[in-house]
Parts: sequence; structure tokens; C-alpha cells
Amino acid sequence: MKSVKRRTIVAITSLVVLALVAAACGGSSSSGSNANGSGAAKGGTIREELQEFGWTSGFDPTGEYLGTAWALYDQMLMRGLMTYNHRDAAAGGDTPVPDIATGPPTVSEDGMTYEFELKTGVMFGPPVDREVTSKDIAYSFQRINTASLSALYGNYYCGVITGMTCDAEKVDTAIEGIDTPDATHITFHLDAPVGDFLYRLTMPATKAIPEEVAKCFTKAGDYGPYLISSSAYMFMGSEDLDISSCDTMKPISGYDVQKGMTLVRNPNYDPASDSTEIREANIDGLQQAINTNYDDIFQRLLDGEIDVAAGTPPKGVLLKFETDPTYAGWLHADPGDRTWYATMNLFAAPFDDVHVRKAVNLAFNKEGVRKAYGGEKRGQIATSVEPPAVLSLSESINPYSANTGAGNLDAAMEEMKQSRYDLDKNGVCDDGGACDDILFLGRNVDPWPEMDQVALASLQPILPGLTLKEVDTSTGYTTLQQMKKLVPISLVPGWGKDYGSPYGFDYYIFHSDGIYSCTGASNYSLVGLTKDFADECGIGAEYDAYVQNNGEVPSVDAKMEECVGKPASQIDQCFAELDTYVMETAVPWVPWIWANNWTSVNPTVNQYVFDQFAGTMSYINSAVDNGLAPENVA
Amino acid sequence: MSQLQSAEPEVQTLAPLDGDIRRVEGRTPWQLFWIRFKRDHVAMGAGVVVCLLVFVAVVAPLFVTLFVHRGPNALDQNLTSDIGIPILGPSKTAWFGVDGIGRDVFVRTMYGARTSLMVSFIGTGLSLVIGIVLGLLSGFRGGKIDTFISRTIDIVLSLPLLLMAIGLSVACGASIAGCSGVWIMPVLLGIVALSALGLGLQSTRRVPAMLVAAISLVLAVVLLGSGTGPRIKTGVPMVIFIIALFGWPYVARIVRGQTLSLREREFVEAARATGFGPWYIMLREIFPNMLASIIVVTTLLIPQNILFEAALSYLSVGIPPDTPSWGGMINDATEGSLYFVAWWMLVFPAGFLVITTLSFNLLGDGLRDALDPRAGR
Repeated sequence: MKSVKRRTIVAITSLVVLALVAAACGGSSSSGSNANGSGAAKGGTIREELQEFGWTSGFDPTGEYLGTAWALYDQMLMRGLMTYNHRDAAAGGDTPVPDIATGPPTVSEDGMTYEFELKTGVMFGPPVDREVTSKDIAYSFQRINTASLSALYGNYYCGVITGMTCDAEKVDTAIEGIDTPDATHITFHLDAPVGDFLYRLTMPATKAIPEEVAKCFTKAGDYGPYLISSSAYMFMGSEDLDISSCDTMKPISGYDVQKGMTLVRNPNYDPASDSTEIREANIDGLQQAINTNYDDIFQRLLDGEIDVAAGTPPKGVLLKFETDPTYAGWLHADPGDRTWYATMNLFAAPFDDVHVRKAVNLAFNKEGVRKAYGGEKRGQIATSVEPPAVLSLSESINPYSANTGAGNLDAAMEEMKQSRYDLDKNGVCDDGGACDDILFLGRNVDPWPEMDQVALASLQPILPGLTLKEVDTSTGYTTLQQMKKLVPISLVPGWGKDYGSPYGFDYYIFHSDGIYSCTGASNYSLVGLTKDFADECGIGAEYDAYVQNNGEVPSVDAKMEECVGKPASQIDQCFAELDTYVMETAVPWVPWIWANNWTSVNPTVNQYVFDQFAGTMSYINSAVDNGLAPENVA
Repeated sequence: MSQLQSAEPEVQTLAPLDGDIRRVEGRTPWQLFWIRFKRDHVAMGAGVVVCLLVFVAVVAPLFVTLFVHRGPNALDQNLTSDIGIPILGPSKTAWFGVDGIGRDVFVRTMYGARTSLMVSFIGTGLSLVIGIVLGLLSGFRGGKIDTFISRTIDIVLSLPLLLMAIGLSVACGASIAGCSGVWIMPVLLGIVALSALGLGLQSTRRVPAMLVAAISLVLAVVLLGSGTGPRIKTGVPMVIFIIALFGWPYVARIVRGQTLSLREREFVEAARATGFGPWYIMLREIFPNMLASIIVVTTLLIPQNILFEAALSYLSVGIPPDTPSWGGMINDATEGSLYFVAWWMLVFPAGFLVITTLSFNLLGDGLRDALDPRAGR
């Protein structure tokens, strides 16, 4: 919609950089030891089954936006300048650490230039079999900059790094703001300083990509089945890829989106170029097989035929995990840095009245919905938009404290009485035109129908006109993304961070840049919508009505630009102010849970580690004791 | 013997039985049907069950108000465990237990009967109306009209019903207004025009029929051009619409076949010779003679439509979740294999579904035997 503006700042990321020094100075250690002192044995193969991969861009790192894909890239397959330690938040899993970079960058005083030195000995896997250089990093940015490759989070770089616009026609277009004076040095020149730039350099799209292979794939998603490893593992069968020309390349045999993937050790990986703090690389292989029968996946887990199953276990299995001592410790619930929420559209009556939105926040039965979702292990009741692991101050933001979780109908009715849609001031929305037949969009996939019912039951006393319609998850999201649909309220969406800094959570969901097009908004509530864009998308009348009744449309754009330009030490406080504004003034959401991710593991997994960044099990730092060699499941 | 030998045989009257004069009386076809039907105890039993189900469906709200005091959507999460698993099975408190959010399964099963029967009755009724009109027209008129309608029947029957239903539900499901059905009225008007045209060509009074056809066509074109028309909303109306849309060909095909046979019969020839028009002949001569077949088809269509509604609800594309339906309840029970720990969530709605469809099928069989004993089984 429009390019990102960055305000000038004086102080920048020095604190983050200093914090990274310690991690970098930890240096490499041999692969035979475990930095966490767990003493986990090497070997074995983690066997996981899932219903589908669900990639958003064919597993091409430039455009892929799925967390499980990010886990595989960052832990197993790809290395970039920065990464995470692939552990939980308590162990620093949300803090960027150098990966291919020898250490923290040298940052200019004005915060506009970042210079990195690269390690030597980091090798691409077969069949490329050469050292990773600064040009491979620069090439990944050229891919981000190429329109046809559809880098989904390109806004983190375009408009930030000089010369990057994300609309280049050809992938070999050099970027003005990236210098590669030699194979081991790379410099980024920014248009404006950005306090969380290092976080952005952890993203999978910025990892090293070999041009000699990737140049053959100029459409979004095509590179996925040919992905060349630069990390500890690779697709099984990578060595058989014939890269003598683009025509001779056939998808690598260890990956088939319909069947699964098998990762094996990359023979070119030199543990000395890495750190066991970051990658223990205990397992010999990872098998992820597709099994469309969800019940069967968990039955196979119980039977010991697989080692890992992600997601919500069937209720019968869950009951065993919760009540049968035999299964104690099988289910892991880890903070997923994800908020589930009900979204309310600022331009759809009666939610175009802030009192109605506040009343909904007060009435919403968060406890009940969480119970229908699976109970306390599902996560923490949310009081604000960002999960605490992303913004530690989130727990202190609680403007609707009158709702302690189960909903407070009295408080909600008092709030509703202030609404123009409560004509007789009895605490109930009763303005016929706006209050009858209000669409409440829910999911029809388990366990959401029951959650929808609980939410609806808590809101109907103040909004009796709510009418539940349920659709599948995909339809739910695409419906919300279409501005003209003006979905008044929906329990469909959830939102997870892109990276562990508040900007990486808030940007696409509250900034007006999150309204990309008339049919592609991730800012479903339309916070910060402009008149021009409203007209363009056919909701000009609703925009005018909003302004007439409420004044200015709430926007967080300016505050967000201010926050992201702050020094790292001040970013959190600034975003806490921003989130408070969101919760008290804009009120686009009812955040109801800061969700946990569930992973069920068989006792064969004798060391379970959670990766906070990816929100999945850390395959790279976990260990399995099944003595199995990897088999090709693709 | 002595009487036979007498010269003038004496005319004797039979002694009255129990004092009354006994006469041999003719029986109407319906009386014969009832006598035969009464002898089929299985069908009678099925009929009783169907009547009971209808009774349950009708009195459900009253029953709940008087005895249970909990509506079908009343939640009580205290009756579920910390992880949302129902902990109260069949008991005095809840006769059929509760579901994953503490709703009373008995109450929902009763209300589910309302939904299933309402949807299937109305949907089947609409299928019958469309099917009878088009079947009669096709069979009686013959020629191009017959060809057109028959091919339409073939096309509709070849459509993947479930996939179409799911597609329509998804397409129209994400809004209150549903999706535009601008084509519905033009299509219905087109059918009217076609019917009038077909009858007009055969009738001596062509002008009024042609006028109706012309007006219908003009209206259809105007409506199509203006883009206005009814909306297709998900939920009960959508399921009824789908049942009617895809159910009529079964009726039409049977009615057409019967019409083709009946129109050659003597009483139709007689009516024609007497000067009666096609409307009269179709409605007063042919239609009553195929009523038995239609009744049988109806009793077989109803359970089929009940199952279809249940299938759509099971797939979460039919009846909305806040309207209890047996298919939706079975779907709730299979959520996360919940039936392993809360069997009652599956057994009761599924049991009622089986009993209902079985009863209608047995009733249909009995009706067929009684109405047309020559057909045999």
C-alpha cells in the first residue's frame, strides 16, 4: 500500500549488539559435546507425522511464511548472518545471535550502516559443495527484492535498506545498499536507522542461497524442492541433484510435498563453523511424513511407531496424557508467541462505536473459550495484544481488568449503555438496523465450533443480534482479508510474531501497511485505514460514517515508526504505550489467549528442547534414542 | 334335496345374520389399501415410530419448558473437565449426558428431530412439487419438451450432489446475507414459461397459455438483467434449497414414466374425446392414478433427505451449530475422537438417526406393498 517510513534516531542498537558479543564470543565447540550439559546421545532419527505441510510458498525460503518451515530452515537447513539458539525463551531463544557472522556487526554511529564479517568454513551441501560467501547473502536479498518471488515480509527490508523496493523485475539486479567488498564481508546501508535490524536478519529469506541453483527458479515457491543446504542437514538425495543446467534439475528425492521429507546430515557441515549452543545436531535424521488421518498419527505415537506429533491430541489421547501416569511428560506445552483473538471491524456497525468494542472486551468469556479449546495448558489468558515473550510488559496492560476471565456482564452492560446503539440504555444493543443479524464468523474445524458457541453465549446478552456462521479456516481468513466484506466480528484469527521484537508482532496486524490491498489485509480491523484507500475498496461510505460519528480513525502508524526507531533499550516501553493505545482507544481486538504450542513426544525423545523463535520443537537441539537410520519417506 | 324336487321352487330369503341384512359392499382403493396395510405389522410399527418422532419434534420446546428447563444451547461448563471433556454421562440430571461444553444431549436430540424432520419434509415437498409438474408435463406433452426435461433430469442427476452442496454452502456461508441467487427466479420463471408453452401447444386455448409463457419469459429476462433476486442463505434454508434442487429429478422421472403409461389408457382417451383440455386431464385423470407411486417415493425420499441433511451437518456445511441437528451432534462427538470418552454424544443422535431412517424406509416398503400389491418385493 505504501512504503514504510523510518524516523531518524540517534541512539541505536548498541545494547543489542553488546548483548550479542557474549553469544558470539562463546565460539564454536566440537560437535561431540552438548553446551547445555545434557549429555544427550548422538544418533537416531526423529520420526514425525503431520496431516499436511501447508506451506504458503512451496517451501521457498524467500516467500515462505509458515512457522514450521522457518523451524526447518533456521534449525536444520540454512544459515544466515544471524540466527537464534533454538531454545526456549528462558534460555534466550528470542534473542538473535551471530550465525555465519563472526560476531556482532560494526554499526555506524548514526545507525545507518551495518558491517558484518563472515566465518570461513561454512559450506553449501552437495551438489554445490562450495564455501558460503557474502555474495550468497546478498543474493538472498536480491531475491527478496524481486517482485515475482513474492517475499511476504519484504517490508522489513524494502524501504529500509537503501535501494530495496521489492519490485525489481530481475533477480540479478544489484542492490545499492548492500556491499560485498570480498567473500567474507558484507555491509548494509539503511535509509533510516532501525532498532531491530538484527532481528530482521534472522529471517529465513535472508539466509544464504546459492545463485547457481536458485537462478533457475524465478517464480514464487519454485525453489523449495531444490533447496540447497548450508547448515547441518540437507534433503536426503541432495547429492543426486544434477545442477549442470537448469533443464537437468529434478526435485530432490528426499522431499515430496504430498508424501513428506527426510533430512539427513550434510556431509559438508563443519561443526567447527558453528556452535553447539545453537545447533547440537544430535540426530542422524528427521523424517516428516504426511498422514492425513489425524487420529492415526496419535495412535502411532502411542504405539511407538513415531516419535513426535505436533498439535492438539484427540480428546481421548489428551485424557490419557492428563490422567494416566504412564503418559506423564508426553505432552509439552510451550509459549508459542501467538495471540488468539476476536477481531472487530472498526467500520462495521455496531462495532464502529468504541463502546460496543469495549463492552465486548468486558463480556467475552475467555476462560470458557479456553476450556473448550483444551484448558489451562492451552495458554495464558491474554489481557493485551502481544504475548509476554515478545513484549514482557504485556501482562501489565490490562484495561479490562473488570473481566477477570469469565466475562463481566454487568460491566459490559454499563459500557454498552454509553453506546449510541443502545437506544433505551438498558445495556443491550437494540438499534434494529445495526444490531440485528450481526455476522459472527467462526471456524467449523474442531475444536472451534464449541469455542464459537461459548464466545457467542457470553456476548449475546449485550449483542442478541449476533448470528454465528462457521467456515473452514482458509475461507475464514480469506473472508476477513476482503475489506468490502466488512466482517463485523470474528473468532477465526490468531497472530504470531515474525520475530521476537514487538515490531515483528504488531507491524502487519495494526500498521496501515497491513492493509495491502482491497482483498489482502492482515490488519482485519482496518486500524489506520485512510479515506483514499476506503474509497478505492468500496467502503468510502462506511469510512465517512465512522468519521462523522467518531472523529478521526485511530492509527498507530506514527507511533510504530517512532517505536521502531528507538534504541533497543527503549523499544519495549514504547511498544507498551502503543499497545495500551490499541487496547484502550482503537480497541480492534478481544485478545483471549496467549497460546501455547503443543507437542506430543514419545519417551524415545530423551531430550526435548523447544525453539522459541520458530514456535516448534527444536529438532536440532533435541535428541532421540531409537537407534534408527533415516529412511526416505518422500 | 326335498326343496329341489318341488314343482315350484320357493324363493327363500336368507335368514338375517344377527338380525341385520348383510350386503356385499364395494370397497374403494383406499379401503383396500388400509386393509392390506393393517396386516403389515412391521410397517404399522414403523408408522407409529414416525408418528412418535413427529410428536417429539412438535412438543420439544414445550417439554423442555415444562420438565428440563434447559434450552438446546444452554451451556454449563461446570459439567466438563478442565480440558473440555464432558464428565456427566446419562443420569438423572441429564438423561442422555452432556456434550463438550455442557449442553444437554437429550434436549439437543429432541430438537434435532425437529430440524431433521422439518428440513426433510419441506425439502421433499418442494422436490415433489417441481418433480410432479415437470414429470407430468414431460410425459404428457412428449416431443421436444420431453426431450428437454429428460435431458435436464439426466444432467442434474449426474451432478456430484455432495460436492455441489459443500461448494454452495462454502460460497454462501461467510456472510449474513448469503450469496446472490439472481438466477433462481429467472430459472423458475423459465420453467413456468416452458410449462405454459408445452401446454399451450397442445391445448385449443393457446392464447392464454402463450401469454403466460411470454410474460414469464419477459420477467425472467428483466430480473436477470436487473441482477435482483432472492439471496441463498446458509443454514436451514440452504439445506432445504439443496434438497429441492437436487431431489426433484427422482420424482420427475417416476412421474414421467407413469404419465407415459397412463396417457394411453382408455379413461384418458375418453376424457380427451369428451373434450377436456390437457390441464384437466393431467390433474383430474392422470395425477390421481399415480398418487400411490408418489406416496411411496415420498416415504423413501424423506429418509434419504434426513441422511443428506445429517451428512451436510456432519461436514459442518449444513445446519449452523447453534441449531441442533443429529449430523452436527455426531460431528461434535467425533471431534478429537471424543466419543471414546463420551460415548453418549455419539450413540443417542446416531441411534435416533438410524431409527428414523429405518422407520421411514420400512413405512415406505409397507405403503408400496399395500398400494400396489402386484409389485411384490
